[in-house]
Order: sequence, then structure tokens, then C-alpha cells
Amino acid sequence: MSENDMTPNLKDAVGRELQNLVRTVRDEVTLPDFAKLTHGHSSFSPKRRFTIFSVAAALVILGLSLSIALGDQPGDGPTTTRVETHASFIGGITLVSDNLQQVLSQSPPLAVHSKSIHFPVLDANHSAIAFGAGDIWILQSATPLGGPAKPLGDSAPSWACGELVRLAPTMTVKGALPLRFCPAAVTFGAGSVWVLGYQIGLDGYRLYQVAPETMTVRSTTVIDGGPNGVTPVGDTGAKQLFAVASSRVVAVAVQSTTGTSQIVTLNVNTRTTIASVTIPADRGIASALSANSAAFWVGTTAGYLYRIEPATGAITRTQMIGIGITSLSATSNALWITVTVDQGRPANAYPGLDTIELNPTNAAIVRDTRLPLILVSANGSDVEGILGRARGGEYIAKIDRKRGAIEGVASTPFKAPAYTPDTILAADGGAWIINTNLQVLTKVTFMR
Amino acid sequence: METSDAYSDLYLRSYATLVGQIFVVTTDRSEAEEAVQEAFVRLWVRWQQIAQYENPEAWVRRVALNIAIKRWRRNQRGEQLVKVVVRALVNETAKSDDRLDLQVALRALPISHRHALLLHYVVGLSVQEITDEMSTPLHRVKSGTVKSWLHRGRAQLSAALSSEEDINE
Repeated sequence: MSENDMTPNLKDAVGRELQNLVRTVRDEVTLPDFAKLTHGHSSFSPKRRFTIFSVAAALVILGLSLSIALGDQPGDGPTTTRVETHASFIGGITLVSDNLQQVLSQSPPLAVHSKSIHFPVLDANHSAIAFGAGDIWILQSATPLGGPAKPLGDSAPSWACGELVRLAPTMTVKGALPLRFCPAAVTFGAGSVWVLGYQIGLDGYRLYQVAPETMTVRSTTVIDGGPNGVTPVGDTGAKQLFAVASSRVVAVAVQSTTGTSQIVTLNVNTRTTIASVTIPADRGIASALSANSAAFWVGTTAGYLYRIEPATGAITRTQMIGIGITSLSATSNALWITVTVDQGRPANAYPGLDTIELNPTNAAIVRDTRLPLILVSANGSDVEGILGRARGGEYIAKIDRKRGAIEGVASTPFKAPAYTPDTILAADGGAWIINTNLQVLTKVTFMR
Repeated sequence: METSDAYSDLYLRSYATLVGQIFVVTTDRSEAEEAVQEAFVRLWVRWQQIAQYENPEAWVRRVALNIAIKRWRRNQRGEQLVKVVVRALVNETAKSDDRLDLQVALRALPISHRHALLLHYVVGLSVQEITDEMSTPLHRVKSGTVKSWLHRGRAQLSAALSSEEDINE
């Protein structure tokens, strides 16, 4: 290959060898059963599909009825043309999604200030970032992903797998704590920062309790086999690790060797296990974990929502909402979840997304907002989300909590295709967005 | 097409090929499989959204590469490195000498070089496309850097392969 070539020369000897290598490996691979990887996703169920077809006629009526029942009431917000909807009947519940393109065209633009920094966070779900003690807590790899990027903590010792980083609301780094076990989830509660870590090939997850004022490790708890019920010998592959803490209990979602999700609750003072419960294999793996004063809440990739009683660590309620739960955010006054539902036509108008507001105590559905959000995050005063991909880019939506409707939208700074944000955190009057593919952390502040 | 059908179709069509491609970077099949499996799980969680992209397979490859590199770096640390290398060698003893030579030569390359070689020689991207693929909005990789990685990577692989040929001859 000439150095100036701008197109690949596939006749090159090295190129041929590499392609032969890929072909050889490809031919040796045995395709694993995907259902076993993620344990039973309802959208693959022919039975459910049959149910959908069998009630197709009823859907039209139900959808229309819900559209009317849930529609904007006169005088409760900006005047808009009625938005077209698409209905899905899943698990005995009819969910209605608004036309994404119409939502975008009718939502007023919001003035925002956004700032982005390079941040090589790797395991991105909503447990990759937390807010507490007035600052943002976020995890990063101790080494950059590749290319010229430099991690924030250049001084990290060679044994460190990752770092807990403290960021001021201005996005300046206030401190970094190197950790030996690879940090994969962070949360703030009971006056401490809690970090869940693991090491490929080694037994047991590690739960670090970090003092925010000194950035030192207060305690390290091994979540392992025996009474704690989890023995991750080696790596279990597809990981979805989460942590969340209340004033008395910290809960983590880890994966067992078989890939099922296990929710372990621990007393924050003694760090002893309260209980360890396993999500049944046919109900998906944990895709979200949140807490409010009433309970811990777990969402799964198969659309199941679990309520876990903090005092006992026991599951006290299970319900199915949608095909899969993509995010959930519990506050004292509401439980917000985003779910996947059936796609409609055209797909760019009905990408199969919906946002539900639930009762924060018993998870009864309060309102199907019909908003096609992929991610949602709420705190005491704000509810924000990422709209399903719309033509031309990604949009962040500010939700009017009382109406369950969009107050306004703003585009995210990066519009390159296939760069969907990984998570969003509503905190400190703004929205914090992580994008692992871009290795970017963005703070969007809404101008009041 | 039903959502699950489209997803299944992509999974069935792309899984093995992606494992082969990621293998160029990891040089360890089990590591490549782990990365591709995790990428497909992430795809499943947000399939409704990614399905609208022009090339969902490219998204999976990029995510799998990120995961593979992350895992590679983690495995580089401490005692795990030994296990991985031993496992890789045990796994590969039954494979042909040529393939083992190529794997050993690949392992000697920095991971950024392997990444660029994969994108150029296997995926078929141009230097400019590789530059775009490996850049982030806040850290642009220069096209000259990519050319340098490709040049050095190719030279080292070529030397390793030709020296083996010389010996065999």
C-alpha cells in the first residue's frame, strides 16, 4: 500500500492474510443462542405476537380511547395540533406512543448552554455517573481507549484499573481515586460514595465505600459466593452492573456466572448482606436500578419492573411494562421509566419508545406520557430525557413534571450518526450526558 | 419486517464475521466473542433506536471494538495477563502455523495499529474514513497518524510473515 492511498488495497499480501484470518475465525465460530445471552426477551415470543394480532382490532379502539383520555386538555399547556399515535398491547397493558416527528416539530426550542469534555468512561449506563455532596461522581478507565486521548488521572498508578473522579458542577476535576478493581457502577447515599468493581478472572465483586470529603476508601466489601450468593468466577461476558444507595441500604445488580441478574442489598453501616435475590432467567437481565424512600426498583431487558423492599431485600411486586425497560428514575413524587414497545410505520415516527410515570410507592401507572424517549432521568425538581433518534440528530427534552408533557427540546452538541448518548443524569439544574463512543461527557444547562 | 426479525437477521448474519474482525485486534477468540456478545446485548437494549441507523452492524463493530480494547487493557493488568496469554496459546496450538505466526505478529503490534489495520484491510475503510472512525469530537486523530499506523503495522506484519516464509523455504 502506498502511504498516500486513500482507498484500501485489498490485493495487498498483508491484507489477504488478515482477511484469510478473519474468514478462518469466522468459520470456526459457533453461533450462540442469543436468548441464552440475555435470558428470554419477550419480543421473540411467538405467543405474544399472536396475542397482538388477535387483538389488533381492539387496539384501534383502545388506542383511540386512550388518545382521547390522555390527550392535552384545553388550557393546560401550549396550543398544539393533536399528535398522531401508535398503540402497542404488551403484557395486558396498552401503551401509546406519540409520533416522534410531530413531537419534535411541535416542541418549542429551549435555550441551553452546553459544555463537553473528553471523558473515557467505558461502562456506560445510568450507574456510570452519580450526584452527591454537591459534585458529580463518575468512573473512568485508568488508561485511554485508544488514539491520542489522555485520561484525567495521568498520575494513576500502574496497578489501577480505573478511577473514581470527582467533578465540580463546572466540570473541573476536583480529585481522582485510583481503584484496583475495575469500577463499573457508582452511586451516592448515606454520606458515602459507593463504587462497584470487578476484575476479569477474579472471584467476587468489590463494593468500595468512599468518603467524599477525603476521597479515601472507608471500607471494601467482597460480594462473593456463599451467603451473598454471587460467585463471578471469571468474566461472565455481557455485563450490566448497577449500584444505588438510600440512607440505610445499598443495592447492587450484578451478574452470576450463568448471566442472570442478582440484586444484592447490604446494610450501609455493617456492610452485611440483607438479601440476595435472582431475577428469573426468562425475565431478562437488569437494565436499570433506582431507589426512592419507598423501595428499590429494578427494570429488566424483558420489560419487567421489580419492587424490592429495602428492609428485607425481598421482591414485593413484579409487573411487566413494555418489551424492555431502557431506563428508570425514582424520586419521592414519581417513578419514571422509558420502555420499548412495538415499532410502528414509519419507523422514524414510531421507533417503539414510550415513557411512563408510575406511582412512587406501588408502581401503579399514573400516566402514559406517550413521549418517545429512549432515556429519562428525574430528580426532585427536574425531569429530562433523550428523545428517540430523530432525523438530523439527537434531542434532549425537558419534561413538564405536572403535565407529563414536553416543555421544550434542545439538540445535543454532537450530531454524527450512530452516536446515541448512553445515559443521562438530571442533576444540579442541568442534564449530564455520557457518550462512550465519542468518549464525551456533556453538561446541558437550560437557560431559565 | 418485525423488530425481532430484523434483529435476529442482523445477529445471524453478522455475529461470526464480527468475531473474526474483532479477533484481529484481540488475537484471542474467546475475548473477541465476549466483546461481540456484549455489544449485541447493548444493541438489544436500544435496538429500537439503533435500527434506524444506516448501518447498525457498524455500530455493533464499533461498540465491540471499544469493549475489546477495554477488556484488553484490563487483562493487561496484573496476573490476568498470564492467564489470557496461556489460554490463547493453548487455544491456538491446534491451529495452523501460519495463523499462529500472524497472531504472534499481530500481538507484537500496538493496539492502535491493529485497530487501523482491521478497519483498512478487513472492513475496507479508506484512511480518511479510519481517521473519522477513530476520532472523537474532542480528540481528532490526524490522517498522517493513521497512515503511520498502517505503514508500520503493515511493515511489521509483512516482515514477520516473510521471515517465516524464508525459514520454511
